Amino acid sequence: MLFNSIDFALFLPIIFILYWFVTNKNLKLQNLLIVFSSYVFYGWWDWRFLSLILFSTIIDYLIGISLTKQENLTKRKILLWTSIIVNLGFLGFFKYYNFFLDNFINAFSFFGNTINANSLNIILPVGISFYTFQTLSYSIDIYKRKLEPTKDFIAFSAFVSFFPQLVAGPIERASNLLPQFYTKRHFDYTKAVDGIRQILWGLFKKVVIADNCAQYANMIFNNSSEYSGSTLVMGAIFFTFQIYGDFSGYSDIAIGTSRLFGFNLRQNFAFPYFSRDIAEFWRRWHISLSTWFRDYLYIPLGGSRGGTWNKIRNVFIIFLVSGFWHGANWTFIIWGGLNALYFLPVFITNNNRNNLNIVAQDKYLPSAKEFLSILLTFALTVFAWIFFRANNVEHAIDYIIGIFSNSFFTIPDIMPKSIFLLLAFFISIEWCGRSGEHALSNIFKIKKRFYRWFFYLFIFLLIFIYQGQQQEFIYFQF
Amino acid sequence: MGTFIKFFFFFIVIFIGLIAFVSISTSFIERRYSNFKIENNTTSIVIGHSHPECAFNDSLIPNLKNLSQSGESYFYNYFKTKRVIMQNASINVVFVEFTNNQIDESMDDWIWGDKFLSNSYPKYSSFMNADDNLVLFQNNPSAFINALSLSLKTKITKIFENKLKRSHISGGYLHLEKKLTDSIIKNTERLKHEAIAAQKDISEANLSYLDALIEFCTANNKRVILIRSPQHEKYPGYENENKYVEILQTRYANIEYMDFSNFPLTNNEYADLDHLNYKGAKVFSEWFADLLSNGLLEKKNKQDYIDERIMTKSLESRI
Repeated sequence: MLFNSIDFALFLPIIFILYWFVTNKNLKLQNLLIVFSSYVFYGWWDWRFLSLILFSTIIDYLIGISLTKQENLTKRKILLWTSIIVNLGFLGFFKYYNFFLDNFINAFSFFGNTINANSLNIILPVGISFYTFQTLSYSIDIYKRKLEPTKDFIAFSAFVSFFPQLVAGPIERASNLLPQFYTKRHFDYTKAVDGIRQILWGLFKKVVIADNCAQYANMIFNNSSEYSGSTLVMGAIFFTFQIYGDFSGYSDIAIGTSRLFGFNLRQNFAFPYFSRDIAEFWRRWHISLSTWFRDYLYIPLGGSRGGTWNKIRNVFIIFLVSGFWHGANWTFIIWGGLNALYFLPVFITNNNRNNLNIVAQDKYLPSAKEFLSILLTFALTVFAWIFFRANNVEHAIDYIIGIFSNSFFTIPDIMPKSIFLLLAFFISIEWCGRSGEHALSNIFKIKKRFYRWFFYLFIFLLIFIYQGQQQEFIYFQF
Repeated sequence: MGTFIKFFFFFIVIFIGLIAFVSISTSFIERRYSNFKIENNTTSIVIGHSHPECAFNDSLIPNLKNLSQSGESYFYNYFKTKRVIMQNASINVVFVEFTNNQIDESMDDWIWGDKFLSNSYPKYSSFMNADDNLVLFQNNPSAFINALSLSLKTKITKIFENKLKRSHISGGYLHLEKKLTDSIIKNTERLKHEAIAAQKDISEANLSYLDALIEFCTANNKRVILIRSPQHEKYPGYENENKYVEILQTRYANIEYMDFSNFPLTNNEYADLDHLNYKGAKVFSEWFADLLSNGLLEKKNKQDYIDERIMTKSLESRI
């Protein structure tokens, strides 16, 4: 079920009413309703893959309980590896089987050997990369004795399948989300209103910004050989806003929806395009994934301890794995590698934690230096997104060669005025709201309800009128 | 909780009211400035879908304007015809294509199918009344909401870019280069089966708007003539010929009708089985212009005259 669909617009109020009016007296029943609604939500797309979620839930639930009972280190390791193998096994089969097979065949043919093996026609289950990471973190945390396992199977099932964040995150840690299923939730008016605000802004990002930019980005990327260098730059910029609007829009809707049900999810995007260096960008982009890799991969590898080469190795590993997590294609790996290259200079020179505060805090505008830093970081990000969006490595290289041609200095062939206006509005609102959890969270500071409502209505109207052609959320494929 | 729900519903009601207000006010402005004017010397127009769009090359037919548009059902034809007639007093005759596929149930999709709705609704939404909107909403609510949004976007853009006075007329003669190939003819058996499978019932919704179109023209003293453009003998749509004739002889028994479907053309003059290419359109349009200049519209038994002229044309072609 898509967040920006009529199905969801009907589904959400029904579940909301059942949750707060019918099952509110009984916590177990409320959690059961969450499990049921989450399975309906997921099954709307393809019910067959519900078995994967259920299987993953059962395995990690049982492993969690066994880990606490088990004191023998070897047996504990075996239990942990069972969880890792099962979860990554599913992920590997559904997401990476064909990639590895094709590359294996190509590698052999390169040395003159021919292997006959057929790729499988595998459908990638939506959200598999998200919920497997979520359950995996549960087992690892219990293994490391950072978390007590739950005996409440329904609460655990609700944690794994919680519908707002099931298919595209944020990837929640058990330590944050699971305890929220143990305690009775109370309806909080302020929280619910802020949730609605966040949903509204998320919808705007997805339906107006991402879907409209997608039309131009697709047009330019799909016919890149026909466009001038300057138009190709426009195409990359459109994609830059598309992916941000798409993914952070989804996160906003997920977090806002959770708040309606009394849950707090962690912030997943913190205005990354206002970052002053690439390290800041990665602290602000897809935070739940970055911190996951930091805690479960980077730190176990040694993190920033050890010699320079170890540090460089660890940085490369985390970025390449992060790229590979996004998809079974060399373009994603190169995108990850490119970001590692961007990151290394600031990291090695110990400048990676220079910009921890909010840019131009308590000021209306950034300083010239801040502005130039933002622009440079943005340009580097735009460049890297070309690999992320391209169909394959050759396409990305051709696209880049096309940009740096003589036509780079010409006026772009595609200049949609209305999209520029919408982007200007979008950037302004994000800039004004950059100190909050989401762009509209500070709007409550406007005391008069009339002005607030006028603003909400205006955004609603923009969503209704300027909705682009409906596109599936990009991150569903990851 | 009560306050939350109360405010939420109140907000939604205000939002719906706002959409209604914006929609009604932009429609009012568009109606006021709409431009459906055509050349002053035009005395007859052709209305319909792609068949007449490709058949009537109006540059070869004096005082006639082809306003047909591919994929346009009677539902949308009706709003266009109404506006054109209101703004062009010189028009006396309205030729309306009435062919086999226009009675078919598949026409419902041409009215409220996702693609057709988003394509045609923004063009004519300002000229529709509440009942017309209700027809669309009841049959495809989600596509209707999308089309409504698209239509608002189109209207607001037109207003802000000061394009309201530009011609609203869409359609016109369509020049097709392609030729009917043998492969299409070889596939006619498959096409026939598909046509039979697709034909379930008639599209009452589409025909009711043809009725409305006729009624409007008659009320404004315009002569309506139903026509059937040339079609290849292997055109699969003929499968519903019995039903077609039945409707023609009952529902439209009092409406003038001219059938050109048997007009003799070679395969090279067809783009496919139901559309003429530019060569076919030239041959047919010149022949039709000749018929008009010979007083076709004044003849008592027009179809006999047409059949006779078709026969002559066939003989000439054979020679």
